[in-house]
Amino acid sequence: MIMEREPDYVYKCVVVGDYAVGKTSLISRFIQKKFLKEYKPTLGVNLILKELNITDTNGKEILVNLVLWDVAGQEKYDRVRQLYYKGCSAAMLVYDITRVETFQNLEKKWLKDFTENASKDALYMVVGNKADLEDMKKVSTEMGQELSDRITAISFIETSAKDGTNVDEAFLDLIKKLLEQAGEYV
Amino acid sequence: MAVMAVSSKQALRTSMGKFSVFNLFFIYLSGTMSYQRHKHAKVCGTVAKRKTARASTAGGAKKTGGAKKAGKKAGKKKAAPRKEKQEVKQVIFSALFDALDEIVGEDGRESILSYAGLKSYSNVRRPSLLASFPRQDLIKLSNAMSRLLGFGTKAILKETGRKFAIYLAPYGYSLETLIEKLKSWIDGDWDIKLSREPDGDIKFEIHNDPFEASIPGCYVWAGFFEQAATSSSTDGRKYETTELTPPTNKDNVSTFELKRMC
Repeated sequence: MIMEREPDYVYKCVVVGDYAVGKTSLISRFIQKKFLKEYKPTLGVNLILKELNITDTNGKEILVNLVLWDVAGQEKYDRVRQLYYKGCSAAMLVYDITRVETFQNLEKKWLKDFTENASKDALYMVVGNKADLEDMKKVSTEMGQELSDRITAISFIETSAKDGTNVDEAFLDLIKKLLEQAGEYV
Repeated sequence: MAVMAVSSKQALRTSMGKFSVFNLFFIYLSGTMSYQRHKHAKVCGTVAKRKTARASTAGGAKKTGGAKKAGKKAGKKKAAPRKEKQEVKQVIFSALFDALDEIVGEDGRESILSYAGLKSYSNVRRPSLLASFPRQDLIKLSNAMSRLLGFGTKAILKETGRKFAIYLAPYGYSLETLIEKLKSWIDGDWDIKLSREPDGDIKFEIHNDPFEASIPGCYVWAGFFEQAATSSSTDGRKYETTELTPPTNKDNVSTFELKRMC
């Protein structure tokens, strides 16, 4: 009889940010290793459960269940969105490096929303997406890093869902920080 | 066989009566046939034994059949009821989907259906009492909701339960009527018992939950009862769940105590 192994840790993680910053594309790149060419706005939330095997410094395998909440960026979901933060372990705050307003909203709207509704020990990281559009870049790497330091985010990273740059690294970094918080050495 | 039996009797009769060549021939003939029969029985003996053995090991059905006959004869014992295919009216699914649409949106509902392996239910939207679906699918849906929505918080499932009650009974029913309707819409050996306290508080007991939900899934019921009790309240007072006991291994009963708020 095949026994299904129970996960060692289960984490609920929300991916938030303005509309069309590439939240769904980031998750699709991480989970399915593919890029969604057409923009289709998320209606409510996409829910994805991903099982991950992480090896700690002693070589022990840790099974993590990551429940990803890809939250719609549209304003019409503002009221119900507060529910989504309940029970959250972490958030990925995503902005578009080619649109300054998405960067400004990160602190003003998304971080405020998250810290008001999630638990106090919940972690968050800053992600600047669409790094492949270097020519159209409006938010510099320094600005992103400065924001991350100021809001005491666990880390800052620039990614490209289109070519896959740093996408896996961003998600794995978040999980490692969560495991470290739980006392694991990874 | 019948022919042979008649001829054996005749042979016997004739052997006791007049002795003729014809009778002699008859005795010879019946003797040969009975020998052949005996020989055939010997050859088939093992097969027959095997058949008997198989019949006794197949056991259950035969024995139950026997017991049934005995029960009928005695007129006391009743045979166990045959397990029938349990179904759920479409109205239950459509109300749950409407509730999910409101809480997690269309994509959220699709994610849950996909996780439950019920993608074919995407187009089930009309609150129909004519169509039915297997209860097993309702259990799958409930499990998927628990896993995807229930981690770290009860609030989302509870809110879904509230909306479920609104969509299932948009014009409100008395609690007793709503329970009766639920029982007629969801097949199975399950029950909800309701008791009203003198101070207006209400206690619900679900026996053999048709959703087969344990924590956190039973918070859907908590939200459902809160909303149903509030909707049916004649003085407009709200109800809140103050205590929830999930089912244990000993008894498959979950209890919800609702307090009437001032």
